Amino acid sequence: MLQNLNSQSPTVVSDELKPISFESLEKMKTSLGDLYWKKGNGKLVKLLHSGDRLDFSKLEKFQKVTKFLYMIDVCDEEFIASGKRFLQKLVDATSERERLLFRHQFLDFISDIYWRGDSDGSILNLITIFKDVFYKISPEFESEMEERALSILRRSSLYSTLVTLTALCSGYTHGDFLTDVYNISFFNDFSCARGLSTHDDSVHVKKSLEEFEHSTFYKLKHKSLSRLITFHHEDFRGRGKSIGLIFDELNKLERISIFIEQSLTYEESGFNSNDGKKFISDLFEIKDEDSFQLKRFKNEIREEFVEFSQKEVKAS
Amino acid sequence: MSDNSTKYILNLLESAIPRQLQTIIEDMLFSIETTTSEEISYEFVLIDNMSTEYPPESKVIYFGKTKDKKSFFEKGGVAILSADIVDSETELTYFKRLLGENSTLDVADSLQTNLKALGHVKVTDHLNSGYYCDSIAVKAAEEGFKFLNIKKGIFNLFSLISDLIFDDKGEFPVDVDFGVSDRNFFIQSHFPVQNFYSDIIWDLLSDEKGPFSLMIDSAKTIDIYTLGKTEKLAITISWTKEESVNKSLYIHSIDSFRPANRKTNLSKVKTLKLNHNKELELNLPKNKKTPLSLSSISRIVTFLKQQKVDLDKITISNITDYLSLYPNKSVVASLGTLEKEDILKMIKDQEMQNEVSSLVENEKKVLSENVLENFINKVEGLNLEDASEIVSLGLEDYTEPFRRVSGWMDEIDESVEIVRGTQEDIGEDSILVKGSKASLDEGSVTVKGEREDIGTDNERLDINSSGEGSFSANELPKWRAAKDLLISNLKKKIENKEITNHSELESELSQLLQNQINMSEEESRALSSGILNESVIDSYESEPSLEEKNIEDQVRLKDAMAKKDIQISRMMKLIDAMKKELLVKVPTSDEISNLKNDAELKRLQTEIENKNTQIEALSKNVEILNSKQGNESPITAAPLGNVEVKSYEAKIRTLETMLDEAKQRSELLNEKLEKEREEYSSRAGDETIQFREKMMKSQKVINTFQKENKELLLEIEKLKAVQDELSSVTTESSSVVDTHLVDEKEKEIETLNLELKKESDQSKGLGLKIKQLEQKNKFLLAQIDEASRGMNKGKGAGKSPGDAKLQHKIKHLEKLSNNFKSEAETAKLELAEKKKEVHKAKLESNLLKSKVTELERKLAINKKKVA
Repeated sequence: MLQNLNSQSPTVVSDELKPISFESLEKMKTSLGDLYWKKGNGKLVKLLHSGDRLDFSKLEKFQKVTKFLYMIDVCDEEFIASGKRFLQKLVDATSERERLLFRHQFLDFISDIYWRGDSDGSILNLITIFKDVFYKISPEFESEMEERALSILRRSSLYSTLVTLTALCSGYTHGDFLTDVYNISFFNDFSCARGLSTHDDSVHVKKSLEEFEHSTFYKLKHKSLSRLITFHHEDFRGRGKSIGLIFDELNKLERISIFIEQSLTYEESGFNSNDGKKFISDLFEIKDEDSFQLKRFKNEIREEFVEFSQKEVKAS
Repeated sequence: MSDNSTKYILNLLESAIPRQLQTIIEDMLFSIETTTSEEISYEFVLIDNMSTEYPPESKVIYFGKTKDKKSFFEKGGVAILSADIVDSETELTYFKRLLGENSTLDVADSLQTNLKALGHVKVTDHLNSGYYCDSIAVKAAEEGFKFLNIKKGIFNLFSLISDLIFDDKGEFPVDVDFGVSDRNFFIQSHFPVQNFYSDIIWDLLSDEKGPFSLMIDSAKTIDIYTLGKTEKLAITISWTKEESVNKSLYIHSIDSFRPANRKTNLSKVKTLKLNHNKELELNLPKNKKTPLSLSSISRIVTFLKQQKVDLDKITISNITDYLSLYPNKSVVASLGTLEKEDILKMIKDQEMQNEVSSLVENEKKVLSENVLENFINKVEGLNLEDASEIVSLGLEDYTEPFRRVSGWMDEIDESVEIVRGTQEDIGEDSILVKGSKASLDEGSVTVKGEREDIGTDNERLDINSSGEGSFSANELPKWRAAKDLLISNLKKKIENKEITNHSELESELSQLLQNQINMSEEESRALSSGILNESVIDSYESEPSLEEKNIEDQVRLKDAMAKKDIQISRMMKLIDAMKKELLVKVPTSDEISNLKNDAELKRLQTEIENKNTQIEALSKNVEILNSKQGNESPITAAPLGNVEVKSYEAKIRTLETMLDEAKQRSELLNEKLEKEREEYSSRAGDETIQFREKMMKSQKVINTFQKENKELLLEIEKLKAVQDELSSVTTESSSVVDTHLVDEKEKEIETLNLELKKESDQSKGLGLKIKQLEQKNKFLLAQIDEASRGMNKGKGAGKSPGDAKLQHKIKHLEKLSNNFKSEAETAKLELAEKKKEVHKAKLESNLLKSKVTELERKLAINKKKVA
């Protein structure tokens, strides 16, 4: 899923098919794994892709035919619950000191899997945590995207998660602000999703912004954050697709958004139960070919994480 | 800005331009002009007099001070600078940025080598800026800057940003970088703005009490610029360690930055991290008053009681009147509302008073270390005023304290030199006193509040009060020397454990006081007991501070709890995983353990049984032994030979009886045997007869079976013969018919083959004929062609008489050729027919051949059957 992670070793994971009751499905907003229906002849029919929105009303009809559906579960529900608790506390906090404390706790909590890679875990855990805490776009948006551009929607949910997480890590802490950052990040390629332009089309940025502004799917509290849409295809050397901005003129959040956009491919791939291992540390791994400023940018994020994971040796 | 055409700066400074500025300007490829020319457009104009006239629409840089900043900026101003910017590299960075040098929002790169320490925070809401304001000020203090101005500056910066955001001119987030550059502490903030122009900032300049003006007041330099391309407003403030009245202010705009290849090394830059998770540990100067100690309050209360006034009439507003006679005037003067409230509470609360007095009584019985420590500290910090206060309270004698105290010092004529010496000792403080009257007053007030804690401050107090004439400064060294002696003597006595209780301590001190200072016995008693009582009270007072500790602990515990939460959730996961594993393992292990337990139980039970049997056996043995002992004793008493004979006789007897019994048994057994034998023989006879009969019967049955068998065998033979006959008959008939048929067919085939050969010969002949005819035809056609050619030639030459002949010949030949053609065609048709026939014949012969093979196969089968 990551451009720079294509070489990630395909370690064999024993993701097994487990029966899942309709009651537990009813509570799920996002499918925590690939969901299947086992036909009478034993054949499996895939109903949902891991990470997709789970609309229970669409699953109800199966309840008449079978007691259980089957899922290849890639998530850790307890991990998700704890993560959500920390993040929700942060969002609800009223004093900055509390926010910083909860931020610390949250980053500490996830660094085990996503930074140090000491334990296995899916990146879908993180996506689910962030979605459950921050997602506030009206349901019509998701149904439209599911119909027209499911792959863009899937990519956006990972993109939004990573942008928001990195923003939080860099010191942007206020709940309302992070909520805006998370939700606006779904609209980067909105015009492509609506079939009005393609990615290679340089007007797609402008059109996406227009489409977002005309739609009533989400109302920004921080209107200037819509600039993240405008800037998302810039590159740091002034050779971007639209405006030609350079690193020096951008604030940290804009840099994060551009960096993550560049790092994620458009290829579709599913999730498995250990694809999150060291995901964030690999994402910000400093490479020889990186520009001086990009190295420093990555290092700043690294230092934030290193602070939370004492086991790691400080990056040079 | 990036073009290389000459840029001009108009220098209209009345004074000379500083050399560094000139080199900087020239380095940036500006040409400095001193006279106005209408042909040149000047990018910047330098002035140092507001009344200087300059070309309109040029950017003006003013060196100096002005009150009306707003109108200056409105008339094209971009900066109001102080000439001292040349002293600081950081300031020059701002200046160069103004002139158009490429820059960046990254402070690390814009300040480059001047950067010493750097930290970052992000402000994302109106209500989280305060925390950062304080935290950054703390960092500034840690770096040795005066935090108060910096705090004010940052506070006003955030207020300004909040105002702009409230007016929809800008928005969160605010990226903030702060640190130390050169000798400056700086804070740079930038945030997104919309439709923002510098005039918004200019307007703010007119509001003298607004955050922007206050920010300017607190800072050394402020640099504000809008960044056009990404629509950001960047505000940088910097402070120096010393307060400066020379301030600089830049308000300008930059279109965009240009890409640059930067490699600033940050390894030497210190990272400033805010202490989110630690309690702030910073020794900021304490300007607040320390509250009045319990002992001082109780002192005042006792005084008021001694005055025998109506305690109910005392209120906060009139308490100072009642205290007009109080021996220590400075304490009365320093009383604040809170302290007065405390005193009133104490007066009205009888219980509290009782508690204090009972405490003193109780404590007097045992000399605790805490009290002792307090006592020594008290004596150490005791000054004359205090001493006199305690003494007068103890004696209830309120004569002029000065007079009494002067009595303690009989050698007033100490040299002036010593006094000077002490002033030098006081050092910095004395300089401060000399500084200005205002600060001196402040100092005296603050010091009075603290006088019980710090010794040196007491001396400073004495210096101040010496001006008022209550005490002579000359008395100080004497008092101090006496006090030092007192303490060292006391400490010695305590170490040697000469003092074990309060009364001893009290008398010891009064004795020392009498010896060291010419104090009367009464006075010394009063002083020492007063000090002792107060030290008891103070030691009691220090206990409540435990609560504060508890609060700190609570905070720490909360943090720890939160961390534990994470750990617990991790542990829970682990436990769950373990549970799952266990669930898989449990049933098997249970069974095994049950089995094991059972086995163990059984083993134990058997062991117990064994033990029981052993015990029984042992007890039996014991009984036997006992009985034996009982029996043996008479036996041993009797003669040995007799005993043996008797036992043998008894044995023989028993053996004889046993023999008899055996004989009887054998007889009985013999009888039984015989009886059984008889029974057997009779039974066997009967059985044999029956058996024989049965044998006979079965023999008969066997015979009948054998007969039947023979008959059947005969029948089978007959049948076989019949079968053979039958089979021979059938095979013969069928083979005859078949052979006939085959012969016929073969003959047919032969004839057909012959015909075939004939036909093929014929067809071959016909083919030859046809070929001959074709050749002939070709030959003829060639002849015709030649003829026609000749004819054409002839035609061309004219008609000759041989033409008719030729034409006739031609016709004849044509006829012939036609005949040949028709003949050839008929022959062809014939040939085709013949071929068809041949084909048919072939098919037939094939059919027949297959029939023949079939028949041959049948024949073979039949032959086999026959065989």
